[in-house]
Amino acid sequence: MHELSVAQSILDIAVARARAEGATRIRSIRVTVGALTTYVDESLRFYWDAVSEGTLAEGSAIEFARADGRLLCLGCRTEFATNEVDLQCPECGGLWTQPLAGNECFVDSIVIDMAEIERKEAVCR
Amino acid sequence: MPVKTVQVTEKILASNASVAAANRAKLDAAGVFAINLISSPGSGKTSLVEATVAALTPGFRIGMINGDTSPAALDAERGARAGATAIHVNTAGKCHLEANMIGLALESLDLGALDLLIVENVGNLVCPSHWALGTHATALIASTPEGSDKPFKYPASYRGVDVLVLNKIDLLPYLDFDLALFMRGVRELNPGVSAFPLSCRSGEGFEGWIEWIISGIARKRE
Repeated sequence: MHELSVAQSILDIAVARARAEGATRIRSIRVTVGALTTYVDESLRFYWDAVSEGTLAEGSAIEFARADGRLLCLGCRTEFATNEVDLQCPECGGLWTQPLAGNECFVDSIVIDMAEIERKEAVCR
Repeated sequence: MPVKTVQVTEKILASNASVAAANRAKLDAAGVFAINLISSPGSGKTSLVEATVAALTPGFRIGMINGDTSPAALDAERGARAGATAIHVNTAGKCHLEANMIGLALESLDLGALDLLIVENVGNLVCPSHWALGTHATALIASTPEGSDKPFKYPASYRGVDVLVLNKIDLLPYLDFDLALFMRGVRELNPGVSAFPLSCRSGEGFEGWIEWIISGIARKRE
């Protein structure tokens, strides 16, 4: 259930940025989630509606992009791609590995509605 | 209505990380060595706190911040009875402690009157490993009844810790726990990690753990 905290953090980041841009509404949010994190998309979606209610992001869609995990086998020095369940070196079978990528999790971008800009004609006399 | 796409690229745990850094700075300024205990429920975190406090007092002054998902401060009460200055943090259902919870708890502790701060995280082997708190070291408390396959099943937690305690080794004769398999998993995921098989109940193996803590306290006082 740590996804509740993660969903709240995503919301805080998105709303702060949308406000700074002068948005009236957040339409969608794109989040990149590394394969070595234990964040579950379905679970984040489950909490999303609850945390976003009553905010600029109410009714918005949340999209996830999975970033590949990469591990370095410290036994045979093979670098290999991985998902979160398979952490074993495909070459030597070793589990002694160092994560090179896949622990990241960030808000990539947001799509926002902007208020119509009021245009005033300058009258020069 | 104009629609705009805004590039954000902001790390989701960035705000937690900055609060954790502020906590760390506060602890460093006061010369307090702080450790974060993570484990599954029932591994013996609080028993470890009790035995550690008993072994280190009155020579050292110890604070405890205990996180639990309910208002029941049972563990903090145990820590206080053992002789620690204990604070209970009710996470209100959250499965882990976060840096801001520690920041608030630190405000009610007199850090100048402490040598060691033990943070007992919520019993959970998945989530707490993702939230930095600002402590100097994270200890994973495993226990023999949980089974010897756990390093392979919770790699993120085993990989990230600085020290490992295997508790309840007094039960080894009654369990099918494969110590060699367990230690192989620990070493493969986290080579070089300090590991202390011990029993809080019998005291067996406890000296190594206490020496490790005392050396951490000494480093902070330098």
